[in-house]
Amino acid sequence: MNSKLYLIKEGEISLKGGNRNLFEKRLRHNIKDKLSGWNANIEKQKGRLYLFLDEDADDETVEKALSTTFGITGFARAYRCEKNVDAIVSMAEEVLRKNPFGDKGTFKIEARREDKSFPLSSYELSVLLAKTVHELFPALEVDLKRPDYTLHVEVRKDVYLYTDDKKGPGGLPVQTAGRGMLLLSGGIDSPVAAIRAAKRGMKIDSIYFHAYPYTSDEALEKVKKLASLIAPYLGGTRLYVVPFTDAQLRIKKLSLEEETTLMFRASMMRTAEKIAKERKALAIVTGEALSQVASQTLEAMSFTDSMTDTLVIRPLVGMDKEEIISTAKEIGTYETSILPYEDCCVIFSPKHPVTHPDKEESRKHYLSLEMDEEIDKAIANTEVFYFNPLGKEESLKR
Amino acid sequence: MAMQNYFDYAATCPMSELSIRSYAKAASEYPFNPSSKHRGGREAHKALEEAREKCARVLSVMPEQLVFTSGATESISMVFESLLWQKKPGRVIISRIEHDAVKSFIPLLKEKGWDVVQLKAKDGIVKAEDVKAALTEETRLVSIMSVNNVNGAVEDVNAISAVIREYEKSLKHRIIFFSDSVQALGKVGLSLSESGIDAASFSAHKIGGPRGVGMLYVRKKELIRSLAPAGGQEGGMRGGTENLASIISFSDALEDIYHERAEKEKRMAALNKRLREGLSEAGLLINSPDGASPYILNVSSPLPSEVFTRMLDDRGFSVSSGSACSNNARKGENIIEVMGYGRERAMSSIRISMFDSTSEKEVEDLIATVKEMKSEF
Repeated sequence: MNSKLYLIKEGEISLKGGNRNLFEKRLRHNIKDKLSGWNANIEKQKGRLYLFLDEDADDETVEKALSTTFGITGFARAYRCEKNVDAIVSMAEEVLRKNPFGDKGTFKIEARREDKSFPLSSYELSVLLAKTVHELFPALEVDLKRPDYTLHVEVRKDVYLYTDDKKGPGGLPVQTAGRGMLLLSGGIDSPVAAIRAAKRGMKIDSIYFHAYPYTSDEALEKVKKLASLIAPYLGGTRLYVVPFTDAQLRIKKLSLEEETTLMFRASMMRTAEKIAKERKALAIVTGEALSQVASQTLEAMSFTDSMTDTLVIRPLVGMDKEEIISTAKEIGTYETSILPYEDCCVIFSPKHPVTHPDKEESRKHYLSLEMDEEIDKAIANTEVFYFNPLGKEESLKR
Repeated sequence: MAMQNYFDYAATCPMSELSIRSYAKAASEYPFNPSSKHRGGREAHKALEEAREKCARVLSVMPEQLVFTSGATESISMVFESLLWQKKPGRVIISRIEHDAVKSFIPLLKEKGWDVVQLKAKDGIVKAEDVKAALTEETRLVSIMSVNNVNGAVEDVNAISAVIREYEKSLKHRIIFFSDSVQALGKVGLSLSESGIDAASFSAHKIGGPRGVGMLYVRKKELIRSLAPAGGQEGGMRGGTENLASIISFSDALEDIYHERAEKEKRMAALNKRLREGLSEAGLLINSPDGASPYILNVSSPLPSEVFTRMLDDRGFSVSSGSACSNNARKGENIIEVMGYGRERAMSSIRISMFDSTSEKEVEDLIATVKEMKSEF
């Protein structure tokens, strides 16, 4: 018997028109994907989802799962009772015993009556429950604007009570907007770019270019860790580890020194595009922000874009580093990103990189490098890892 | 893990068979606390003092001048922490090439009002005249290591000691001359009694003894005052029940390393010379100064330290990247840079360190491997 209940608020989905059902179905699927271990069962009522789990479901895991599921604007551990006044009052007492308010401060009753046939109005229900609160916590005063504590009661098919509602990540459920391939480095930016793109429903797989021994295995482990940290937001993610040493050495050998970074970027785009096609992904997502480094000028980006037919999305293009860092901290990737394992060896970084390349000239230069064979070889030797919606590494389901 | 092609002895020298046997024997023979008054305790105490005497004999010092500690880091800490007993802060002179165990005291000393002077070390050598110029009436401590752990540079502690002793004549107090001697122990001629050093730190695991045990040499106990004498062990210098089995094993390792010292040094000098020649031929640049410890050779390749180290590792050779190609290391000061070799050379430096057990074949194999790798530079 399912008995642990969470009430989930869906935001933007409820504004959708004809295809709302598709979004809701996907959201339910994404939630269940994370919590299937506890027999997740979801019921739907106007603007709300009711998630029922086995009684032994771990609160922390559930909260982590819901707070990383796009499409959810808020959620709370809730309690259900019959639709009569006595049952509501006694359930309110039970809820307050389990989640007690403090001895000082203010409170509010937030009552909502969806079922207009219920005899008490929202106001009357609020007054009734305020008495209950007052009896249990006589020192608390009412404050309707900025209360310290809130008891919510919603009268629908049944009656639901909850106190501690938490914010969800908002956005739209992943996999409602097609698939994108993320260029995941070990840095601060790309995980944030992934989250931004996923927030609007994109399903994301990640690609990392590994240049051992010029980059270390620790750098690869760091990237795997980052993939596992963003996986819950992405509803799981594949990580393609592309061995890129030979490609980089070829570029270093044949390219003009000041253009090496640009040529790397172009070859990475070409590689990502091939993997994207295989995965039926429609976009390449990068963590570039305008003018952050030499390869992130408009000229450099137009050049790298011109090397692929696939749409390139840069969710961070208008963000300052500080803003990116603050999001990275929120999503919990920052501490891993700043570990000192570099994703590009200094020998591949030109001292004076071109910042304003001529697109056509650089295109010619790139084509003269004849990278296709190296890229195909790199893709053939690519290793694929999978991180499930709970962030755990799993063997890949083929 | 095979010891074959291990060239990182300056980081740690794996325990020798002899010290493992010695440890096991001592651990089973002396299970009691040397401070206990019963027979077992008395035997343990006797064994402890015998180990101390053995070390003293090898180092030609008095047993009471040796304090067993948990390692060089603790020995160094005892010297620096001792300054905190001073009523007024004064001056401390150290070099820019000191080990982090020394440098890590700079923030604390500065916060307590001490004036910390860091001397330059062009080509890896701290000049006695620079020490002389930095000495002031307020100077309480001079800390210059005996052998640098990164490039093997052997410092002229005798000359440094001489300028300190000369200057000190006009003072009412004594200036402590401390020398971290971890990489000198059993490897480079080191005469504590003649050098004029007041205190020196040693570690067992750099000479094939166990980890977690080391020594502090103090010419006169009054020079150093412990912050925590606890139960009064080690002549009130270092509290806590003695790590007896490790101490005994350390004393045996020490005796062993000094056995046939002259021949070992001669052999090691030849190996070092061969390494210098071979690696130069392979295109590497030698960073260690002439006259450096034969046990340590620092070189630079055209690749970042970390990459070159990894490539050697993949070919079965363990060396140390003198500087990590990492953000963290970039912030710090690099010893090779302090020597005057520039950032790039410093960031591509690696340390090759040997021990008496290193064979000619291992050295030849390393040279041959680096020559083979040349195509990848």
